[in-house]
Amino acid sequence: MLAVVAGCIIGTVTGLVPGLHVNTVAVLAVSILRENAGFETVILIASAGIVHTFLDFIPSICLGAPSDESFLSVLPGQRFFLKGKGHYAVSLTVWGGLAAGTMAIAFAPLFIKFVQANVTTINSILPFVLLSVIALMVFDEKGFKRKGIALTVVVFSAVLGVVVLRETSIVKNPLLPLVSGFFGAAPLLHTIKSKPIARKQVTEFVKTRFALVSKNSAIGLAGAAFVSLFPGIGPSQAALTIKTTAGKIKANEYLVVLGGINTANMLFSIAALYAIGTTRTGIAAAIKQVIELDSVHLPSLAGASLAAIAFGAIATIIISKKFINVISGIEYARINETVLVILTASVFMLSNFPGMIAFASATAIGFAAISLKVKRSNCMAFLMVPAILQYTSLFI
Amino acid sequence: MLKERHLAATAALIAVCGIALIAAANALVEYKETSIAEIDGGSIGKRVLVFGHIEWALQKDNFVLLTLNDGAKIKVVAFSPTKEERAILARGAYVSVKGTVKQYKNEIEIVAEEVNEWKG
Repeated sequence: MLAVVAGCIIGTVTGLVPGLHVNTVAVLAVSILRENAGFETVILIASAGIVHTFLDFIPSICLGAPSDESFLSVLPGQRFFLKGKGHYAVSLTVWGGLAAGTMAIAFAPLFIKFVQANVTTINSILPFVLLSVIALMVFDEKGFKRKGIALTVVVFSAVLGVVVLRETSIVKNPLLPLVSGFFGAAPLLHTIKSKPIARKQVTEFVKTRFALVSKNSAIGLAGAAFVSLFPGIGPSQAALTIKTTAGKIKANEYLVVLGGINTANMLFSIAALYAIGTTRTGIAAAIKQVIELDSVHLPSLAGASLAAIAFGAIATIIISKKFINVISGIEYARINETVLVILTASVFMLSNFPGMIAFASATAIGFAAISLKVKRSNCMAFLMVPAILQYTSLFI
Repeated sequence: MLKERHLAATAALIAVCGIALIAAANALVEYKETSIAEIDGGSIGKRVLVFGHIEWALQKDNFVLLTLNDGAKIKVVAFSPTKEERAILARGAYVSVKGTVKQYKNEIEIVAEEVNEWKG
């Protein structure tokens, strides 16, 4: 239980600090604890990851500083925020996460059986799915110029990923500098420059229709189950795919879907790790480094996940209600400067000199993507392209 | 219509279920103290606690393989052992092993979940 509590606290902190991604923290924690990490560490990481998926929407919606998983919430979420309904937007994501997360645990045994029975088919279609998602991300950008920039970001990220993640790479702990650069340092640098937008927020809880929550969290659940099977595809890409295929979707529905995908994807990625031993998220990769998941671990992991879901939901609503008007006025620049220094120092200590070069390169690419106003999720090509090459036997 | 109290109640219910599941999992995870000679094909999948002397040990990056002897012998594999566990296993001392009995390549072995020094 101590590990659950510790994980919930860590997830709360990482969720509220823009640019501090729980994948980064998980990879860091495992790198530091390496020889002393056990099942309790897995519980801690999983709990932190789940709580993070809830709290993460608060800075995304209030500060316009999206994490990788929630960047697509900026538009609909910020629309509500600018109307003074930021708390309502946050509550929608909470409903999505609560419902889809719980359903993910209930459906996990079915999901595991399905994945184990179809792993060959999944692996054979994987390159095509990933290529399609990359194409979708690029073509979703508005205007020819942005499409060109997005493609450039994809190419640069892909090259960096291929060079750093190959087996013969000289980079120590290769995932750490890349994840820290793309999704840690880059947004931190960007938010240091930006000023917060202050709007008076209504903190009265707005009633939500049961049908809205149930339908859209189910969509989020399905989307999460799909993307948890493919490396490099995160909740944002899943939401983009749903948005593209479902056609017109209202902002409030979209936020429930996004909240659902975010939390359920975290859970399904752990289930996929157990089912076929492969990792699809940074959290799952960190868990795999610590322990080989066995059936005896699953009940405790499920229980811890439920507790974390409940904590994440309640903490998010309380923090949003009490502090949304404070958060939206905070000068996050100082906090982000400190986090950036700590992150850089961590990469320096846990990687090597080539790792620092990789970190700087990833930061530059990620920062360029944000500054040039293309989706930062285009940088996920650093994972997706090596996965495509690996599954087509072209990656060494 | 769903109100704030519905969200709080739902979250509270989920939390209770989660904590109950953790408690149940911990209670069910009981290791049966046994001697190595009593471990056979019928023990596969069961969780056991055995004591013995490390007769042979092989340390690798991600696991330690050892032969445990309490009069009878059994192979034990410990994946991702902690620093403390490695130190114990390296000395070839008397240890207690908590783990699950499994079959690998027609041979019965214990996959260790916890290894501690045993003062006898």
